[in-house]
Amino acid sequence: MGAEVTGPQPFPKYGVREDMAAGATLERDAELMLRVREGDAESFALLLERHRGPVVHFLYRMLQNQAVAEELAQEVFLRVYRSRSTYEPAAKFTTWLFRIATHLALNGLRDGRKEKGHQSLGTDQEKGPVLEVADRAPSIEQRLVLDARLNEVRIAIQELPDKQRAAVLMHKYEELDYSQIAAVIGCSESAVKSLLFRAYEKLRESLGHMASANATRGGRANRG
Amino acid sequence: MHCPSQSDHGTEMILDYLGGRLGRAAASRMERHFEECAACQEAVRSQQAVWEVLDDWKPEPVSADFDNRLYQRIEAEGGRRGWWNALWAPVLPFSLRPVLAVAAVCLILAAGFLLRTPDEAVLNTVSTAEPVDIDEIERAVEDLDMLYLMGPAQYEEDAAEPGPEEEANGVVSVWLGRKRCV
Repeated sequence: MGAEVTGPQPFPKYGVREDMAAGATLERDAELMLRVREGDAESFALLLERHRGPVVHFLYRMLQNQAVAEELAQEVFLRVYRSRSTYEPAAKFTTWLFRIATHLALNGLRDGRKEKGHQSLGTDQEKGPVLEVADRAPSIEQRLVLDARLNEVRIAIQELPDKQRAAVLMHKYEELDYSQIAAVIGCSESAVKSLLFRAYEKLRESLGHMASANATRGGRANRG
Repeated sequence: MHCPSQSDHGTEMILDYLGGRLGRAAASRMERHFEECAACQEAVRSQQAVWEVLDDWKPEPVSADFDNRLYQRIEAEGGRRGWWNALWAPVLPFSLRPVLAVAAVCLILAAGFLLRTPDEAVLNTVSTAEPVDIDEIERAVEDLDMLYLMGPAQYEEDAAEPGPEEEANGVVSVWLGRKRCV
């Protein structure tokens, strides 16, 4: 009954969560932050090492400007450092961290900081994909196609309302769960789910044609 | 299992499945269901396709000097706050410092109030004093002038009649004018 699922393992990379690893990470972050509270600078360096990338990448995808994203990420870690003496591990460290980051990002968007930044959307597009695919030495045509695709993704994300965008980025890229996203954005879990479903629906509408093209390309590659 | 596409939580279940947020058993149940349900397969495929497109958007690497810039900012901030912390650190634990700040503010306000009160008392005193009669002041000044012109010797002759010499120099006329009302 129903359509056939292609391949021996239909969804091999999805489905199972590594709960124990997630729990251990949580404890580790809280433990490190408590050590920072005691004045251990090395623990702060470890926290920075672990979370620098996710915070900068989240802010970059929110604001679509690398320079502004790094500036705001610095502010995030500066605030974490300033608050070390009052830190209590009541909430997950990442929830706290992303709450600061989201707050700054939403304020940044509101203040039009993005427009003030000198790098336009186009400038970033030129930088990112070229660096990303340089090793595989794509042809000019491939590069242009890739640039155009990434541009569409960026625009689709940018067109989402601020909170939907934040929710999608935290859910898709940073793998925060609903309760964490709710705590970050400051709404209920059901409101977060509603935000996410609406956002993904919009993305399916705006990026659906690219998904079809992907499938066609993948099929051709498999046959080749 | 219930078909996710027929459920209120269908999208959530599919998102959780694609996001790897389901337990092993739940994921296996979903996969068995997908093999039999075209609607769910389509929902999963479309969502999975969008996620794969989103996966193409790789972030740029973080600048190499990110940490250095951050530590410089922390250091600069530490320098600005250093004297304050150095002042209180040996005396008070950090948790009591806000209490101290509030107490200091209260003390300043109280001191300001106390210092201000006497001024108000003075102002009140002045404002309730009786108005001064200008004529009376003029008379007092004239009296002083007269006493000055008379000199100490004239006081001794206060009860005596003025002599002709004294009348001639006009001093006595003033004296007579005041005392005898002539």
